[in-house]
Amino acid sequence: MVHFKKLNNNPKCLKNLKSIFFEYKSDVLSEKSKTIIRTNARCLSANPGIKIALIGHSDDREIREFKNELSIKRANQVKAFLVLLGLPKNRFIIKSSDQYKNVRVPPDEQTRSKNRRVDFLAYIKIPPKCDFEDVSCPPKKEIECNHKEGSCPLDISCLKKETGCGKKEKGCNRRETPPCLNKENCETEDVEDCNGSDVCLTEDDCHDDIPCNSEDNNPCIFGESSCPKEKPCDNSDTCLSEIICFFHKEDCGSEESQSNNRGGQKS
Amino acid sequence: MVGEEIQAISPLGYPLIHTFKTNGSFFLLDTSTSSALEIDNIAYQYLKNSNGNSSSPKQNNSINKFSQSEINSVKKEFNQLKNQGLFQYPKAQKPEPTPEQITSYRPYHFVLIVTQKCNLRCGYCYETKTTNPNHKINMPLETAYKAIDFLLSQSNRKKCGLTFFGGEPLINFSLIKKVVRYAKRKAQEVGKTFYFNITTNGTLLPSETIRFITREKFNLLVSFDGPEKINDHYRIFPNGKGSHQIILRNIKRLQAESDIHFSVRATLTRQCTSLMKLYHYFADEKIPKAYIQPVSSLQNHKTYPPFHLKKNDVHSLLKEYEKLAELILKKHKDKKAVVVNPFKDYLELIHESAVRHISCGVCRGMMAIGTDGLIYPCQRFVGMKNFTIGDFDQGIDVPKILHIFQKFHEARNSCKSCWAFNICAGGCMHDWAKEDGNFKKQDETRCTITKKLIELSIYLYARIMEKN
Repeated sequence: MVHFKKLNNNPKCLKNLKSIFFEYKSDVLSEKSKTIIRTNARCLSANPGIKIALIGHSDDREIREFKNELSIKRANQVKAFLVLLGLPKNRFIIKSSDQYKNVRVPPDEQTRSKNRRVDFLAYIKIPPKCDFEDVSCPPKKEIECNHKEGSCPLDISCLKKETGCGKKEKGCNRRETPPCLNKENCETEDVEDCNGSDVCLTEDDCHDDIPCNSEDNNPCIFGESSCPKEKPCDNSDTCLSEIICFFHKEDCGSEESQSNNRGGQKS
Repeated sequence: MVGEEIQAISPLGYPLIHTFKTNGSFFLLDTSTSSALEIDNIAYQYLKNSNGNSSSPKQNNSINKFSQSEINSVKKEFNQLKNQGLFQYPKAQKPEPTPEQITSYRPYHFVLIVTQKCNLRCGYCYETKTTNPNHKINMPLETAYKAIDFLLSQSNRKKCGLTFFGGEPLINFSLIKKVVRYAKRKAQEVGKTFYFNITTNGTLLPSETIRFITREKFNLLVSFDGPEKINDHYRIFPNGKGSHQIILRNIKRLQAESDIHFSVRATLTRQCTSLMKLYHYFADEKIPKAYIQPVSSLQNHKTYPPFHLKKNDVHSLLKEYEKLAELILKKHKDKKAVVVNPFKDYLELIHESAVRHISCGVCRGMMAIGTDGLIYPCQRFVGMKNFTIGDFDQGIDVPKILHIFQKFHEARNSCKSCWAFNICAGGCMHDWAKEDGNFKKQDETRCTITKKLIELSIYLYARIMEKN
């Protein structure tokens, strides 16, 4: 019989989840990588409420040749191994880096090898903000879905990456009218879609310029001054939710969040 | 309303364990590590009776209804947790931040008091206590420019922030436009960028202003207390007329003409302690996000102002927080967003098992610049001369900052016997500040509310993690 159930006892290991590195043009896990994944998995097992974004990266040459395909494959390989270790697959979302966090030039072999990796990004979903009481979405600026560059999975203007990339959503035309401001603007069947898409960010929006008092569509809800780009926006279901950032504490400092914009009952 | 105060006391007098029941569930907070645990009724009753000492539980009726094997099972688990590092009193003696920790921060965000003038006369505004109403002035442009230069020279971050504050900052809109232009240009010269915030009363938002703040990607916070009757009780023009209609009209225009992020800040007074009423009002008006903060009412000559929340008001407010927590859970379950989430900061702190030294960025990353060109710990201190922490010529007065913190820490000693201290860290420094430069706790109602918010946040955290 369990009388005491720990809620938050050990999230620290989540900040130390190690990245997995790959050989050139490869998505094969080495034995060393598997050992690291096992270590990471132990931490994840101890923190069952935590979701993980697996963010695949590729080096500049691989990106030129495979776009994001290899990054996704790498992330999927890591996920498959984690599932093999007994972790539920619905704890993971797969992302590709779109190069934004890759080590920059000069592209020598050393820096390239650092770019061939999968990062673990831990987060939890908490009650979201930005509420329009179930029927509408915030006005959203136009977002081009750059499917030609293969960035659809990170481009949240695409509601569903299978079908929505580069296409207008039926009924709720967010390019010509503010999307679903009122239920009347949308066909009933579109309302849910609209809710699921417009609170997300594009990669460009998820930029550390954006103060986190704008959390209505910022997944880095607690950071006051910045949201690192690598915060994921899960197009499947977390778009409506907010995410507690584990990483980049220096950028998402709670100490600052209180001071910004909430300084007493000034007029 | 708030759970059992202290269940176990360390030899040094610091609380170890706080157990409480809220919304039908039992919880335990290990105060020294900020570890939260959900417990069952047996463990709850056991801890209540044992005072945290597992070897000598006092028997009474509530614990007698459980079998000895059940109690032994609780004892065993409790001791296992002890062996894992929980309930260890030495850690409860939280060290104060070192001077290095305080002064290692470089400012990166200034709050500019661009004017002391305001077109409203809100009954609860703290500005009246710090600024002589007959001598309200605008910030000179030169001062604002100096502030930008100073911030850029001091900050070690690539992104710097400016919040325009007042008075009502949009009274001095012409200066804001110039400052934004200047800040962007100067930042570009040194490879940095600025982001901009503004806190306004929402009465001065013509289309031109909306276009500007949209173009410059401002984050807008509108002070707005909600329904007409509530808002217009205190948020009035000098002629006594309410501001509700104008604010709401401007919010609607903002929603129609702009896609900028904006939120609302409502001040809760004893005129309305119904959070749910405010919640539904803001939701109906499609306000994307609202902060609802209880009024900060400083004691004046042993009397409290009429808006001060009295004991009964606080009691009903705590009930409202409980209802709000349930609503948030429902929204979370349905994957719907919520307008008001006062638990947000505490959720993060609990999530990270945080032990805080200071509750905000006061005096450190964020500082405020008065119209006089002096630097203050934050916008709420502006005008309190005993709290100035520098100027643009002499720079930031680090010894003064350390002195302020030292005084504040001394005043907070009374908090160290509180189970919530490691999470709340004493709360807002300004709430303690006195004109003479000293600190003293002046508003106990805030403590009661904070404790309830922490308890409910633990409850929410447990349910959210369960669902995740």
